[in-house]
Amino acid sequence: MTEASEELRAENARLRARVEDLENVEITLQALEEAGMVGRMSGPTTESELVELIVAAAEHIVGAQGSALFLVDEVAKELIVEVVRGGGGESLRKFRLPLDKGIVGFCATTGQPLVVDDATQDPRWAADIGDAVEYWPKTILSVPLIVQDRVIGVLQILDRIDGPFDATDIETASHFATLAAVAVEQHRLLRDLTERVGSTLADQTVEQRNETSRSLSYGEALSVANSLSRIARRGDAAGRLAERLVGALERYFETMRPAS
Amino acid sequence: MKVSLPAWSDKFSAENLSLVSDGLPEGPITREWAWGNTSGRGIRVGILDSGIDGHHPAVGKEISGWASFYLDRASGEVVRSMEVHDDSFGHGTACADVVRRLAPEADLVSIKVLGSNLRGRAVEFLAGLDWAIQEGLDVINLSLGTTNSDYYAKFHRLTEEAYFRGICIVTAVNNMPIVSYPSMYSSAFSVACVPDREGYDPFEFYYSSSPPPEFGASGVGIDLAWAGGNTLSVTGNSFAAPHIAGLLARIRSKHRDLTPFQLKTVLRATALNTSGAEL
Amino acid sequence: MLSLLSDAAIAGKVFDGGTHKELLEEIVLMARRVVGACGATLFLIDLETEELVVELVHGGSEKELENLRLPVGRGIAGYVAATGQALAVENVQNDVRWAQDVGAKMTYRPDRILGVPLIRDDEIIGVLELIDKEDGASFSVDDIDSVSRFAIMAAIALEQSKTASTLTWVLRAALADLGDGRKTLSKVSLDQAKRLEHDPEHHQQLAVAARLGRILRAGPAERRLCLELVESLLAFRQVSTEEQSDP
Repeated sequence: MTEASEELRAENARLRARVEDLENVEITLQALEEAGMVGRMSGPTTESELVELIVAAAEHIVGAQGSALFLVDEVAKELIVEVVRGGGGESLRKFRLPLDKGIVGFCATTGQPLVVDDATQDPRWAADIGDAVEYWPKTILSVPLIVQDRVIGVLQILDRIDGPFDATDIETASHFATLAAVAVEQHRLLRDLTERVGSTLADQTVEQRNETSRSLSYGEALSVANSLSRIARRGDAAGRLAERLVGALERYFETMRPAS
Repeated sequence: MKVSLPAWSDKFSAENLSLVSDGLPEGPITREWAWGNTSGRGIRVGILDSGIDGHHPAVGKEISGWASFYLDRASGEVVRSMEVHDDSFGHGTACADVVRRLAPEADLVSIKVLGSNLRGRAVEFLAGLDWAIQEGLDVINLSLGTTNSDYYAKFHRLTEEAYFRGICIVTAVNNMPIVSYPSMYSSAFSVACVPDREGYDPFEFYYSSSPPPEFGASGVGIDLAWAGGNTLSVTGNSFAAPHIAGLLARIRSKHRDLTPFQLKTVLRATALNTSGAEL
Repeated sequence: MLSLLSDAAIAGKVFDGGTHKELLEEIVLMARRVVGACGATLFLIDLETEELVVELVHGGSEKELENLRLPVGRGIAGYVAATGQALAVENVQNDVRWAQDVGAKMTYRPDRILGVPLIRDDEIIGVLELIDKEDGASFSVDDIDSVSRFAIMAAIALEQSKTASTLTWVLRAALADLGDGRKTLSKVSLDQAKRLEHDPEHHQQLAVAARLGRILRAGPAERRLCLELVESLLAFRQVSTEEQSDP
């Protein structure tokens, strides 16, 4: 009988520890969210807003009637339509195209900018894009988004208002493509890391659990950090202040320690 | 049993209705009719801005009134001073210069709501506008707005009050596609600058039937008085607004009884893009 | 792991993350390029000190401007910051007070300045200034429109930078701790991790944060002292700022 109750007690202790574990992880995740970190970053709104603004600006400054942004999905060998302006609109978002078809496919695969003066005549223009969007542009300028020698997407400017696309337009569009590439990469990096941290937090080992149970009240730590950064506005000044404060406190506590 | 009428309907009851005789002419509204031979005399124009440099030669005739508004952070109250003040940025002086060009004899009142106090901006602005309206100024030029939606209701109430009291509030729209009060209210005269054109004619302005903005006036590359004594060549929507303000002052000095509604009608009729507009 | 994360979060709050620096630079560079200006400066508004602080500068007199702080009550940038209205000036040297206050701090004397506000969520957060078009022409209404578009982008990038800053710190720290888990990361993240491993400043900052974390974890008395000290400093700072700005 005693053995069984011993086992039961041990089992209960394990379960309690496990629950505490989960609670601690939960609390930390909550704290992270409250600190406005995890929750807000995963929101797609501001990211896509920025990319849309970049595409709209490119269209406006080159002087055209439409534009589109495609992103490469290397695994699926497809292009995802991220932005479409001037026809199609919302219905086309997240639509997927094969990587090797059409003018956009050519640009994505070769990494070469391309100008088409009459898309209706060109066999490289896939009719399926036009059908899907119900917008058949006549003139198309395509430039690749390149990051560290990889093509990560394509920016297209459609139907130039005053005459055909020229070399200056290619240059202008390329600059906007660079801007878009940086924006997209930033977003991906952070999204990537967010997912890792989330799953890492969920898998807690026994050793880490011990550390967790000693862990500080997270909100307070953040509050101290917040105050420090408000006292000294710029990052480096706040850092120096933090260092001095920490040093002073450590020395103080050293003197307070009872003589051993 | 006597049926009581809903409020306001009285105006339209049979015994009260009569042929309208407000200040507008029976024939076409012409520029000559609107502001020919006038100079803005007797009309008070408030420049709600960064102050006016009273020493600047271009400002000409003496400034008729001074009021500045400052948020005292210790007490949380907005403090009003009636002392002569300076122009913090130079912008207010430029707007005063424009109004002077169109209405040389109008009375200018400087309402300073811009200084070095960024945080108290919106409340200072509100206080300044409120004062200007209570003072009964005929035209108030605001070449600034607030984007703070917390103040939407307060500014809206003030602008409406001004409208019904016969006060013209002239504002510059923000050039970005963002909301800015009070230029987004229908009761205000919202103005944008006309993109680069040949030559400069302060009386050149246009009307848009899809506001905001409702009017377009000169605002590109204009030489204007700037605080400190010099002139600066400046561009911006905020320099187009005072053109309309000055014009309104001119029109009002000739036609005292026109309401903002009627004044908008006059401006529409005399805009350069209205067919049949006689110059 | 969790204490590491919290240390990293502290570091993120205290030290300037600057995650979107590259993006911001690209935006400012584009604005300058599109308009053909000789220089561009991005100012941020520091509400506590009522100043405009230079965040980024390209061309013009880069070195001089980098650490510049301007009182917000003067000049083109000041007006734009106060009103949210865009403004262009042709012969800015004629503004005697600007020339004295701001112009005197620089060797490069611009003639034309275009100032455009950065607005996000009802708030004016900064000013983007462009200087002297290379072809000598004036800034046109089209230029104002173009630059305004970039200003909106910059405002978004800045907002993202703020929220991302702390998170990025946390995530970077997590990266370091992942060990084998790293194999599943994308190339971009791996590059980041490698770069950080060899960045002494990163380690130093994390160390300071760790020390702070240890103090806070040492016990309730230690925690209380630390909190009270920091709060007092902050209160003192706020009072002295207000006293300085009284007319």
